Amino acid sequence: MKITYIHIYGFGKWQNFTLHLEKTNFPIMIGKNEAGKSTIQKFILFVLFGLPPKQREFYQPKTGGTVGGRMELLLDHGEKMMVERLHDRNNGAAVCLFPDGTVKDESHLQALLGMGRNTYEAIFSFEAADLTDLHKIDQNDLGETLLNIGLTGSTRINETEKTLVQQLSERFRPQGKKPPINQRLQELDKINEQLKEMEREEASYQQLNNEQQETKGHLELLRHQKETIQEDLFRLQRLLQVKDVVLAYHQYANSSTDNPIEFPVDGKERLHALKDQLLPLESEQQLLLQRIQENEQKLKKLHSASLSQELIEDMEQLSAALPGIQDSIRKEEHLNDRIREYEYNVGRELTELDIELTQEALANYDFPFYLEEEWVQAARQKERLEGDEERLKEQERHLSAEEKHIEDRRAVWEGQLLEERSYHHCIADLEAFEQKQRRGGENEGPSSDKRQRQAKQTFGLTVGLAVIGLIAAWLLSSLPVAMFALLMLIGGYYIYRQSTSLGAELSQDSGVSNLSEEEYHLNRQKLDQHEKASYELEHLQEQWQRSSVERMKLEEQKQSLRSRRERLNQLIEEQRKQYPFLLEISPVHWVRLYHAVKPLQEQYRQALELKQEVASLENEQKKYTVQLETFLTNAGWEWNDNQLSALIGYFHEGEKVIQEIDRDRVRLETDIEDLREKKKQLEIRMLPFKREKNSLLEAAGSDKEQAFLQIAEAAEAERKRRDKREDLRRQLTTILKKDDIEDYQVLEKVPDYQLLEQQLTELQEKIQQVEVERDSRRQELADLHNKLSKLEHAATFSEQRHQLQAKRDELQAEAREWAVLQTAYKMLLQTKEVYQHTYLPDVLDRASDWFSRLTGDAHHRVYFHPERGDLQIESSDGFRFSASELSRGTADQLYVALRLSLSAVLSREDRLPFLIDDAFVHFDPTRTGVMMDIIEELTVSHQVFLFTTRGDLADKMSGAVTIKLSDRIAGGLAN
Amino acid sequence: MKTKPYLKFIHCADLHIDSPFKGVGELPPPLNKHVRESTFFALDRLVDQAVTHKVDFILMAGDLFDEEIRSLRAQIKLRDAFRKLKDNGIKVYTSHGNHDYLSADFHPVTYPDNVHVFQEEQVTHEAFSKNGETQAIIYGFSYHNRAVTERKAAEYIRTDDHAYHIAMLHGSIETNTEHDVYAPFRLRELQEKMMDYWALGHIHKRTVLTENPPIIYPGNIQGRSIREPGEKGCYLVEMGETGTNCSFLPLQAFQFETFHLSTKAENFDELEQMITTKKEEWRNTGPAIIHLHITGGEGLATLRHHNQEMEELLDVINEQEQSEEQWLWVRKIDIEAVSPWDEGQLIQEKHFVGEMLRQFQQSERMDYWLKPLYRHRKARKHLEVLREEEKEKVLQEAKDLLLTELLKR
Repeated sequence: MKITYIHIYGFGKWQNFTLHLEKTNFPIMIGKNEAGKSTIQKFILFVLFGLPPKQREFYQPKTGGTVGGRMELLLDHGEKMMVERLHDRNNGAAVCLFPDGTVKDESHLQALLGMGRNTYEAIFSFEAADLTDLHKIDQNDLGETLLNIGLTGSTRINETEKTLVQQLSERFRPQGKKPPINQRLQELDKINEQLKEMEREEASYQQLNNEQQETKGHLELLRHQKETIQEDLFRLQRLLQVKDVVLAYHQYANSSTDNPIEFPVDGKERLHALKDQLLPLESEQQLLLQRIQENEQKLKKLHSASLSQELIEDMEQLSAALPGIQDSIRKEEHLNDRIREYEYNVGRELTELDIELTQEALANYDFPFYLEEEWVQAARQKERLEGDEERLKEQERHLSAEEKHIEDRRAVWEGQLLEERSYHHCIADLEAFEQKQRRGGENEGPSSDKRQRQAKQTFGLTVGLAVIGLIAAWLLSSLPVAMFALLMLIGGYYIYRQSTSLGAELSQDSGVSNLSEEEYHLNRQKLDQHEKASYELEHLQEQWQRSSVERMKLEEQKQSLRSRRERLNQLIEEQRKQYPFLLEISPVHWVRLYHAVKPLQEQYRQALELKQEVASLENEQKKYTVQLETFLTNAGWEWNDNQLSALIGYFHEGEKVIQEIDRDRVRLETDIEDLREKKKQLEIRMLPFKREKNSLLEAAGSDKEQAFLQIAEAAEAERKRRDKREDLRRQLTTILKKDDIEDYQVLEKVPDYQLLEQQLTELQEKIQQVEVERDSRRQELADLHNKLSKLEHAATFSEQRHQLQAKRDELQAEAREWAVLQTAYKMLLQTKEVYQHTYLPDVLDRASDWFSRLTGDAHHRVYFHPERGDLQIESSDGFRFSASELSRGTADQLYVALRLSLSAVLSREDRLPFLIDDAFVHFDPTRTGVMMDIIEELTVSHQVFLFTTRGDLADKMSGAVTIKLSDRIAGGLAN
Repeated sequence: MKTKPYLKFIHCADLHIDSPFKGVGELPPPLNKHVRESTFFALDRLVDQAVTHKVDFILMAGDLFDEEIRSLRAQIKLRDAFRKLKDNGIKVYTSHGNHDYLSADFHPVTYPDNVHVFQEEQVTHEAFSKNGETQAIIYGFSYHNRAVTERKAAEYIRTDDHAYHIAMLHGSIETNTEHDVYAPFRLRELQEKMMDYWALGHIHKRTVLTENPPIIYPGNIQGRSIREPGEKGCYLVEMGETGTNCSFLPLQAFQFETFHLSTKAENFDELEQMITTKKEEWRNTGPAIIHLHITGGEGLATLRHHNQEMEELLDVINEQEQSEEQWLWVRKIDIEAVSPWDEGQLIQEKHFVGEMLRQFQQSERMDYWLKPLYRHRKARKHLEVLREEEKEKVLQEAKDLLLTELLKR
């Protein structure tokens, strides 16, 4: 990269200042001190890297105007770029302008430069001040500084390293004592020790606890011991206290008699009391006895006034039966009423019926259950029979009329009938006529007709006989007659049949007639008439026969009716014989009569029954009357009537008297019983008093009251003595305890008071000893308690521990600070080492050449000594020594050589312009020449700005362009 | 179904009585005492709250004190607290956790009989009765050794009693990695147990894992370091017909708090002025130990690494605090400032600084470098080895320090 154009708008003393540097790679700025050389240098750095606002303000021109400017950069690949930077634009940021009008920002510039200002300055900027800094460095450190120059091109690293080392050692030294961390550690150790001690102390807590328990136990034991002694002591004191009482007691005890008088306590008083209570009871008893006797006498009187036992029993029986008898009397009356009623009713009814029937007769008839039926039947039969008879009569009349009719007709028709002969003759005539007429003609024989007629007559006869026979048979109820009649009828019929058939045969043998036509017709007419008549007769005959059958039937019916009538009459007769009152009454009304009479009979019978009952009642009453009379007589009671009711009245009176007596007697008996009960109770109440009294007397060994009272006197005296002794004993027992009395046998004998006194003294001494020991134990316990309490509430341990932690925290913080320094320091060293291996050989190589040239070949080589860690110089005669042994001047030369060499090495890739101040290379003239040669070598690859006071320097330089700054300002050249 | 009785109890855990505070450093005497006594103070407040609210019992789910401390005073104070609870008819159910495990060496202090300690290593249960009626079954177990690694949830078997079932468990939910993982459990394992309440302990951060049933870490009753910030205390639990109500009661004597500030201050005077003003705004949070995290620009960056001045600043800020009732003690100021350099660019360069930054990317030798102090014969027993994130910070600070020095103009 190359700066081809500079235009300063305003920067420090420079204002509107331009430089055209397109043609040169080695511009030499010549000006005196304060001519503004370094300002231009700063401006170049400002445009390239910028500045903080305050520093920008520092470069504000005194005349005012803008701070800033622009530079044209020719980039490595041939492109041009204009960089403009103004103080008050974009907060001092650069703007990159390209010929094609493209605008880019600061970052583009920075990317192009590839390094920060610090690095650029370190590599590409050489100031006089750098060398001055070197001169400040201690001779001893020179080697190291020079080495660092070789490494970094600046003394900064060295300075930093030194600061770090110093700060580290100020804080901590592994073996030291004074640095704060070391002191802190000592402090911590001390606290730790204390804590351990305290911990041990706290550990004793358990032991102290145990001791405390033990002591408490011991104290308890002592307390118990003291109590026991105290008790004994108190007892002795008590015994001694009652010494006088004990002595008095024993005195009384000895004086009392061995055989004490047996006498009941308060005997006299008790006897009086008993008597007081007994007296009223005894008087009451007397009273009761008297009353019992009186009552008994009264009772005896009553007994004599009463009836004997037997009579009483009789009386009771009679009395018991009495209500029954009274009932029967009342019943009898009632029954009699009813009987009368019945009899009246029946009588009235019978009168109304108006039949020959008395009440007495009524009773004798039976009206069995079938009688009604029979009577009904009789009535019905009679009715039916009469009906049947009526009908039969009608039939007979009808039949008779019919028969008469038939007879009449028959007579008519018989009158028309021809004679048999004439008939036959007629027939024969007719036949003959007909035969004559028709050569033939049969004619009926008149003989047959005759025979027929005869047969009919015979038959009629027989039938009449048969009918008569049958009627007779029916009437006679004779089977043989009926049979004979039937045989006759059959015989009659047979004859008739014979004769009619013979007649028919005969009729075929008719003679010949010779009649004229008229005769013929007349005959014919006669014959026809005859025939018709005979036909009619035949028919009538039939009718006759039928009616005769009818008649027969009728006769039969008549017969049966007659027998029925007979039977009926027989029945009626029987009934009338049995029940005479029916005689005048038609059987038709019987049934109604039955219904009228039957209940009457019932009523009558009931009346009879009632009468029987009355009889039995009367019987009963009569018996009772007898009994009553007997009793009254026996009892000797007054009576003078033998009517039952009167007797009953007497009986009642007597009975009442007896009952009165009985009631009096019962009352008396109850009274006596009550009195006796009272007496008994009284005796029971008296009993304990009596018993008490007896036992009282017995206890005193006497059976008389007098003796008893004497003994009482003696006993009184004895008791007083005892009371006194008892009183003393009581005093002792209240003062002394039971155990005291028993253990020391106080009541048995007089204790040894001397011994007791001695024991008392001993115990008092003992109790003092115990008390002393107790005090000491108590103290012990209090101490333990204190110690424990102290431990329990000791905050110091806790405080110390917190203190330890606090100090550790401080240590931690201090250590951390140290750690930062240490890390920085070590990191610095480590980087240096890396650098030594990567860049140093190259840098030293080039530096050796230049150092050799600058020193006129006096020094042959510069190299790094790894063991010593510094730079070594080899002189041309092969002598080697440390860089720190170099003279100031030579050191400066080496410095310049190293710096330039480092820059050359590091800038191999970054072709940025060098900015070199001439003071930096201010050597003697020969060396200056060499220096300029070296710089010129640099210009081959880099643009080099050389700022110098010496105008001659540029003379020998072929590619250099001299710019005289003083001229510019003095001449006001702005272009 | 009988009506549910009304039950009221307090659930707390991890009392760590009398255990020292980490990272607090040295304090002036009045504050030192306040801080030192804070666990006792919190315990007293716990007892006061139990008495004021007339609770039936207190559940203390382990770690009542620290085994490594073995403070007799702590045990005595705890016993006295138990006695006071007994006087007020309040029962205590407690168990031993990983810090006060049973086989540890403790002073023989006998607790009063209102205290039930779940002595067994296996889960057992104890009935709580009121008015002659069993109202709650409480389950618990104790650590017999420092570490219990088995899963304990399976051992909680609900009884058939018609009562509330309350389980005490000192252990870690598996998702928590801040504390040592003891008696681990998954949330689901507890939920399946059909308990009415899970009284957890071990994790110091107050956490309600689920509300139904309540599965709760009440946290400790007094913050112990800047990593346990905010209010600390116990849960007041009320159970009844209408369900369970849990409310938090703060008990702490003072809090730890980190405040974040951003500033344009470029020198210590400005910084002091700003902090002093801000502090008065914070004072109503009550006594607190404060870490300040201050962010700022390049101007602030220049103040870094001035350790001496920084210490002086702290002294000035804290100077008046010992006379304050609601004291605020600034323990530490972290400064996070924008650096004037572009580290991303620097690391690309061939120059020494670039190489150094590259070297910073490999810091494996750091432990070795810190050995002289951290493994020092005397120091190592007092110093905690730096945690990884702390080491990373140290590394950053060292880098920042070097860059500041090397790029100084």
